[in-house]
Amino acid sequence: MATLGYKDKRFALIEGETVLDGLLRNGIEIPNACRSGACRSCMMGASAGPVPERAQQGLREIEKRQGMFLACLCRPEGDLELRDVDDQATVGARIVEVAHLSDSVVRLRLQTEGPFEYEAGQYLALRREDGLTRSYSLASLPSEPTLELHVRRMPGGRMSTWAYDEARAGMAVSLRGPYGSCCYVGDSIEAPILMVAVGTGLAPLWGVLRQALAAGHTGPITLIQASAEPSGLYMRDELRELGEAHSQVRVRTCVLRGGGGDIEERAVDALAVDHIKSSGAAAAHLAYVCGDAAIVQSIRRGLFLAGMSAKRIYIDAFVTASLHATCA
Amino acid sequence: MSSIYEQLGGAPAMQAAVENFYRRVLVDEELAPFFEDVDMDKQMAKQTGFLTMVTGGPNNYTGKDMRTGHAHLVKRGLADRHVDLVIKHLGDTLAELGIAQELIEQVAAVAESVRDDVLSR
Repeated sequence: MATLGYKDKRFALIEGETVLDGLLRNGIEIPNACRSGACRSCMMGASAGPVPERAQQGLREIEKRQGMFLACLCRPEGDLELRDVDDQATVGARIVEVAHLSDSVVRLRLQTEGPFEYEAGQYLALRREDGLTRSYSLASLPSEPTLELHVRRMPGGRMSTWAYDEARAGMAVSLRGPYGSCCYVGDSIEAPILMVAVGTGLAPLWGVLRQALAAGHTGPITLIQASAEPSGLYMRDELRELGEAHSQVRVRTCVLRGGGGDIEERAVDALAVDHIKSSGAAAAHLAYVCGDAAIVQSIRRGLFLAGMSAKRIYIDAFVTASLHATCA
Repeated sequence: MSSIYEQLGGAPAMQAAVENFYRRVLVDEELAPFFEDVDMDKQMAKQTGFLTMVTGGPNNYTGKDMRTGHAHLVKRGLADRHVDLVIKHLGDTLAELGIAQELIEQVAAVAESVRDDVLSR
């Protein structure tokens, strides 16, 4: 029978056993609920070995490409090296460009020292030389020579203040990743797409939007850029130029306070839900929602209730550093 | 005879059924307060398990799961009325998906069987 490797453990499956059964029998607790391939709780990755197609039933294309599978459905056809969904390798990198995009957002461009494969819209963990680590979304395309991150300086934010005030070209950092599945999947190129970028939620969407265009997406794409106030908006010229260059792309901008001109003064969740409702084609839409976690979850719920399938709503919800442990 | 789970299309069809059901629950003003602050992914994973169980699919839920999983909601006032509403929404979902009324009653009976566990009785 197949032999499984997971972290420092190795064991053989017994006849008819799934990967999940084998892990549990060996005292390795991994999340699971339905045990029938529906709930996705037991999703894992394989870093080596053949993954049976059946074990990837219902997963997103991006997840399949990354070797993800459902442990409860997986009866391996050969030996497998298992990893947790979030377990990725580390690669060294150097900052090659620092550009201030507004009075609070800085763009870092990084050159890795080894291969770093990713899809537009994924994120990585950026580790400074002293060990301080934070997650940032990739704004670049895999075809571009450098990785691009947008960092908003947060009050009291150790990494973000450093990135804005002190980061310089030539500094060494290390990267772990990529993570996430907020990516363009070219399986419905005619679908209308709604993208909602809250704050630096624009970073992953700057990648996903350009990826969709490069992949020949034909459906209309509406990008809503949102911030609390106009000063929080950035890269407006680039977005306008992209909209002018592609007739299928429409850019809308909204703020909670201080709107005017082409900046609408509206709550972004209401604007996003209205957009879907007034389209009369909620179920046909794809949506990408990125930025502050609370707003993203609220928009996601609103879009779901407006008739979108949860599976067609891709999110990248940013959690601020005070709430999650650093890997330092 | 095939189970209702199989009639619905098995695991691949569960996502659509769960979405239909969850949407009904979230817009129900009496039920919605119990679902605030709940992670949508985790919630839908649990409801997938629930729908799989009550429609006769591979069953991995136990009374203990139902008991521990709802104890905090009972403290917040979860009562018979809410279980009634959930069973009603479940029936409406299955009806919309083309399941015959007599089979829906079978599903409701299975859901009834965990009522006391859900309500910590």
